[in-house]
Amino acid sequence: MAERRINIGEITKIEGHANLTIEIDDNEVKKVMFGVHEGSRYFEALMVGKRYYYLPEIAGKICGICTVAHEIASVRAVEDALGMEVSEEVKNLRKLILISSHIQSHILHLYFLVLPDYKGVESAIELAEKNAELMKKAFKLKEASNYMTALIGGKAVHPCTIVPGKISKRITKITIDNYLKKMKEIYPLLLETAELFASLDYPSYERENEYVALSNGSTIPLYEGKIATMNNVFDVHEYGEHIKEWIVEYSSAKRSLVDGKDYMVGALARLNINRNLREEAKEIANRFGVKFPSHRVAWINAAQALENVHYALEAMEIAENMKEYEPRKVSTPKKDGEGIAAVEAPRGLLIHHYIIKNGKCIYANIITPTAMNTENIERSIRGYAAKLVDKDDDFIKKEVEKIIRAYDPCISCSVHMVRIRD
Amino acid sequence: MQFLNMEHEILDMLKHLKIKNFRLAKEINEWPVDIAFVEGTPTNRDEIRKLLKIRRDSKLLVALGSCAATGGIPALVNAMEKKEAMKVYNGMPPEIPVDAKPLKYYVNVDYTLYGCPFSIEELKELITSIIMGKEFRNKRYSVCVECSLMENGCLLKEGYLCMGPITRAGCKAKCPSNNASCLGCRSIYEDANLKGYIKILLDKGFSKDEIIEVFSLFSYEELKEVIAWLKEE
Repeated sequence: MAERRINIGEITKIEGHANLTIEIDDNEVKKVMFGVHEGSRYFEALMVGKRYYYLPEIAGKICGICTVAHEIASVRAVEDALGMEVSEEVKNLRKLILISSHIQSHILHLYFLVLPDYKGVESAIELAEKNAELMKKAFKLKEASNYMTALIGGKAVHPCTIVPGKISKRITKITIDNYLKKMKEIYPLLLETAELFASLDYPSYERENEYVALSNGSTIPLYEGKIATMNNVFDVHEYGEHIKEWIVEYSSAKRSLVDGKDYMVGALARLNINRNLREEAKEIANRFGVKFPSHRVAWINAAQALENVHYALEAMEIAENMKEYEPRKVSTPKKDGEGIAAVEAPRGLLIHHYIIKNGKCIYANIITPTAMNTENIERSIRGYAAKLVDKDDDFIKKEVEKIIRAYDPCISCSVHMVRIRD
Repeated sequence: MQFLNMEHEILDMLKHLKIKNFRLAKEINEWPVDIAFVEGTPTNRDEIRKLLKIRRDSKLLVALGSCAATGGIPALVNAMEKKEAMKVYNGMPPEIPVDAKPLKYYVNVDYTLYGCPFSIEELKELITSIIMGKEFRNKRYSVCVECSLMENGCLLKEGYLCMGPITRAGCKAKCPSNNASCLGCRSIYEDANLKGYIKILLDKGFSKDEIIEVFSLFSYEELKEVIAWLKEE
């Protein structure tokens, strides 16, 4: 039995249910257990036997926050499996919806889950009582990004237009213009948000580890690309050779390593790997002394706010060059095949992998960003707690919670790590 | 999540209510409460116990969204052999799974909001009704009614397997309005003509297997007798 045991039964202000135990003996951290105790959800199991066109719909239900990322990863894996061609304009529309939902997710995380820690309040609700103007801005950003997602997706949560080969509905020039107008309207608020989150007094804790993100050499891709680490680049179809998963007994989410190393995915990983942050965002980063690449874990939050600016600019460029979109009938060249797709969800790399036979799914594997991050989170907690052992329990709790929240773990996403092969 | 999607209106609502317990957004969470909104449904024994405790500690309990209302997508697992479900965890499931049932299977549910996601408009209507002491009723007609009011073309006529004719309204027919079939996330309404609907689908050339699949997506628990009958037929 450890002489000192710090326990958080239920970590608040993260999505889903997780607990934390830190055991300290002789002023040394002996054991850290970041346990996910969300019920198993069997998504990969229940996808088996379903027709290919229902897979994106089912995948979207994995998460209410990053639905769009799941739907797009799923639809792209289906298209990869069945050899379906997708036009540039469909890709662009998908990029637009990916960006608006990305911004939405980051805003939710930054203002509602992270900011209370740095403003010394227990919740965003208390923050709203003390600083109504600030929270009104947050709501405005959230509302606007949901509005843009719904313009293309039909609905903000669980969009219904992301189907194999196309976007299901006609997108008029007016719709594109409305998207563009809204993005322009909130752009100044995104700049303000980046300034706010680049200037917070974050824990200075740093830990060297590997990072993984999509990469294409020229942008900070969300929709498609190769998978890159700090030392390696490989095709998404080779993920199985690089990313290894295992199970720990105290958690219902799997753990994973890349090329034998623990790794981080998400906003900081994206900016560490892709040095293509646009000038407008880079200027803010420089002004507040935020630099990439960096091992400072809590800078994930700064990276999120900065990349929001970057992606807003990218979305405006795409929208400005878009014409009206009319869905066409799509053909499925094959009825059988294996497909793998990786996209960047707000929390990091997301992989969907299916085998389809006679139009029905016979194998599904989904690796979510939080599942990739869990090992990394646990090691960061261990490292940070080791620096804090001479502080009292409450202080340690508060500080490690900041580190956990920085990752924006989405626990409900992380518990589908089940494999089934028929 | 949809709660926060009420956006700035939450700020107005906070003048009339106090949020006492919201783990996603709050550090300090208190019981008991007047109204408990429960999303999702238990998939292990621990969660059943949690649900029973919530019921004890609240005056009104609202089932929020498809999973809470009907078992939703997780109920698809109910159709699987339990042996198969265990197998997917490489023989070591973290907890023994229980079937995903609607909340009303375990506890008394005062109000139900259907849909995946549930409708924010209906949530606002419900909260306002409770505060003002008015009656709240779910829609007792089909998505088809709302779809026709939107003057959409009929997806079923165009050859898509659309669940609009038997699905409970209240979503303003969002999916069909975006040229995507209704998949029945709000489950069937009380007077749905299931037999007539199945006959139409069979006449249109859909196979029983296809009908069973789409019926199972969100309504396996509600329709399992119909599904069993379709399988036997």
